[in-house]
Amino acid sequence: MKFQQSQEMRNLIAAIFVGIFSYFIIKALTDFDIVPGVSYIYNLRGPLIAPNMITVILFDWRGYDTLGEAFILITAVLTTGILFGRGVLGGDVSEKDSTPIRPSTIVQKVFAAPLVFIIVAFGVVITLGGHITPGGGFQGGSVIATAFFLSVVVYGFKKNVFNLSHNSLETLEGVGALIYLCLGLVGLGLSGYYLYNVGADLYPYLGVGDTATRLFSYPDSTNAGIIPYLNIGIALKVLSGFCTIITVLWGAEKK
Amino acid sequence: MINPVGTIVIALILGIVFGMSIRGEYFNKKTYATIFGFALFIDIFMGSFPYYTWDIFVELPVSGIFLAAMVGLFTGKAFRER
Repeated sequence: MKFQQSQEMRNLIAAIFVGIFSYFIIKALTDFDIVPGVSYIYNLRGPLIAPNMITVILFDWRGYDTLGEAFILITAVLTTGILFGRGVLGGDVSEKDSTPIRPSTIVQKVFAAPLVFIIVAFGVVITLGGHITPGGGFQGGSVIATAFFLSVVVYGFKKNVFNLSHNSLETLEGVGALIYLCLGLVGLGLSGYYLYNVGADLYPYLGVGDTATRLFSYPDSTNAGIIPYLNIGIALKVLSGFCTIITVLWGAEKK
Repeated sequence: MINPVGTIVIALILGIVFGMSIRGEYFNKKTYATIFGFALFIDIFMGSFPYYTWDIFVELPVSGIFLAAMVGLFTGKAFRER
């Protein structure tokens, strides 16, 4: 009974969010004005702020690029789950499956745990510096996921260094997706463009007030607006996606 | 980020989140010493990367985000063990 009620509540919340999201999408489609759209302003003003057009594109079209990447990742996780994940995601990876495929050497066992720490910290650096250095949420999330891979390969699935169940991975992915969606909706609500880079120096040229600018900006000549926050959301999503894939493939290997 | 300090704080929070999911059974004093040595080397080697945090550690050119993430990982792990 309780399960049914919670399911109904989840469905209701999901329906409300779908409704809100649909409203903004329809609003954006009906209000869409391609000339002089965002690209025109970016092309005109972008090079005055960023060093070159590549940086402008990296900063301000990166959100859309990452949206596509996220869809590819979702498709990859779904496909892997459908092909190899029969019964695995229910949490029934048995005790027999907890051992590594091949016994690890003493060097691997000694150095894997410290390396996990280093790799996770490095992944955080790549994620948070993504808007100004070669990196970003996808790359940072992938690097953190390699720490999970390493510990699974060396210590086995059940005894790996991370204590990430399928439920916690689901939560992590949900939080990442929610951060991304909400930031996109902020841009949609304030400028009429989904994933508009609110807070970047280009924002005042659209003639909108600067409240949001203050919220998302920091005193830096290469102000990136919402991109760093998008990177955090994407890193969580990519990390959980890759970890889900390795969970599924590990179960498939043993069955 | 709101300012360069914001990135340090977020790195600390992310470190705590990930640190809380790390099991303690593989770590002892030798492991911690190894991690500390590696981390120190990497932190000095990275310098002030990513560059927008260098004004905080202008006298001590180490990666503030990496340092904060490491501290967060240890803190999160300590929380979990309690």
